[in-house]
Amino acid sequence: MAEIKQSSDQFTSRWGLLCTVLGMAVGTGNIWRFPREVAAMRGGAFIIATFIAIIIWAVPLITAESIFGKKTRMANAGAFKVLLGDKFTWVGAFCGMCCIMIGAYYGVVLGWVMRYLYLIATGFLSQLSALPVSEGVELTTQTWNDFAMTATAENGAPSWGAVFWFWAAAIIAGLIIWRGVQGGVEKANKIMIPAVFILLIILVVRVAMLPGAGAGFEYMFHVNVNDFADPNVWLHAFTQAAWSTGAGWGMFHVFFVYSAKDEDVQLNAFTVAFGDTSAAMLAGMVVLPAVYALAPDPETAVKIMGSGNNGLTFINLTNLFAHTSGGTILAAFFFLALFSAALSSLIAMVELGCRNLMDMGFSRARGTLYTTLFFIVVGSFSAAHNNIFENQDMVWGVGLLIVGLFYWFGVWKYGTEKLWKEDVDPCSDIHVKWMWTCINLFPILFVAVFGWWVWQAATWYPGEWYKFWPITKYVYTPGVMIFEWVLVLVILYLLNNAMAKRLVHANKIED
Amino acid sequence: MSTNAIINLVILSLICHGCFVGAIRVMMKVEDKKRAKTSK
Repeated sequence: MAEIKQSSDQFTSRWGLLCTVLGMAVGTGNIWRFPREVAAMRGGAFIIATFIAIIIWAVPLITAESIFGKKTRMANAGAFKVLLGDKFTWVGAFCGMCCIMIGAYYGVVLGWVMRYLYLIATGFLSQLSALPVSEGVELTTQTWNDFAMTATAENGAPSWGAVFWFWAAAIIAGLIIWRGVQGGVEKANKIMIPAVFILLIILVVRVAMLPGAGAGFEYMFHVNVNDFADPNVWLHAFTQAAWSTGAGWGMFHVFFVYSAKDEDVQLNAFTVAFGDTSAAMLAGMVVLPAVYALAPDPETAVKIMGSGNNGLTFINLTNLFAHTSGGTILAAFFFLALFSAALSSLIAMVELGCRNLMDMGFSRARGTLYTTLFFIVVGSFSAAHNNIFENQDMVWGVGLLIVGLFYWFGVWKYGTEKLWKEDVDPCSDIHVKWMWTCINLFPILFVAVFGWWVWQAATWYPGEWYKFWPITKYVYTPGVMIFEWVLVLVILYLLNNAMAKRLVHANKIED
Repeated sequence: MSTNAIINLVILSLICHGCFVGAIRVMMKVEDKKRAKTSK
């Protein structure tokens, strides 16, 4: 194997690392997905199932990723090459590529949020508040459709407004990464993550004072023991744990490339997993009570909670905030929290792409430029056409489960016990072995969760589950998922040797 | 809000936020010990 050359980049402190990995984890999955899932899965039982899923699924995977980054000081492709051999480079490369493909459309969401912050700043809510609630929702629906959904209408045009805001979001993320780990990533996350928690806490207190908010808390925290026997509750809980914490996405891996030599991996994994869940719980305690308090009646509240991520945030919550006293501040705080959460996650995705390129000898400037340009080119399709966005969300969201499986494979091949002795136990602050060996359960959990998602998707397209073209028609089919995964896998497999030859640049950590 | 919901809110919040805050406190203690060791 060629000698590994080294360059230097490092977090200034454990807190810098913690804020950064929390920033990576806390994102839209906390602010809008968790509240929706809690509502759909009937509250308390789902929350308890999610806690269990965090311990069994998320903490071991995050630990595994952290080890890969810390042990090799290389990003996804390079780490698999170093730990398992040159012929497994493509496995690590797929892990990185999946996350990069997610980043390409995730930036579109940040663009949407930035546009809505602009609307709030320019008096949109005053315009809404002058209308009755029912007419307000018509205006917010129209505003959303005219901004992001134009291409889905018959003979519709691309959503150029969404493309513009997406480009702005991608450039902001690129600039932060270009400034480096200390000057960009760490600095930004040390501001954004405390801001997210502070904003959410203020919102919880304010929303709790709204008349009628109690119904939302009641719904969120009632526990029906029978719900634990519903497999859907568990499948949704494990999916939420996977997608919200970012466990098995490959980004913890990349940030641990910059961790201190004696950095703990286990306590960090536990802290981030529960920090992420903490943010999600706070968001749930904002959104559900707000919807129940501000909706004209409980039936409308239920309908709003079932209106999807975009419907809930950009159509209904925007309208509801406009029709309550102090609503402009509430809306500003909510969208600022969402902005911080989404940006902190997006910069992690840009860093992942950049670090993989730096391992191949590119400078940080070039790595950032190429990654950002890739995001802009690929993501513009998702910004312009919402069906493409939905397709990419499905393909790479479910693809992340495969990435988790690849990390489990890496651990299994290298040796679970060997990694415990070499890397987890020596620098663990808590030495809880069973929280590591839970990773041995991963293949069974993967089959259940992945199989369920693929089976579900097939039932949405009876007789057509295998079709994949056009993508804008077959948005969620198993056929389109397999087509896109296989395309990327084949390309990376063919490039395996070329990548392995170039992956000789690791990060160096000072004592 | 019912008594059950209030109890569940307190318990689940304590578990979740408690685990998070507790983990950070353990971290702070570990970092303090490390600093004390290096300054000796």
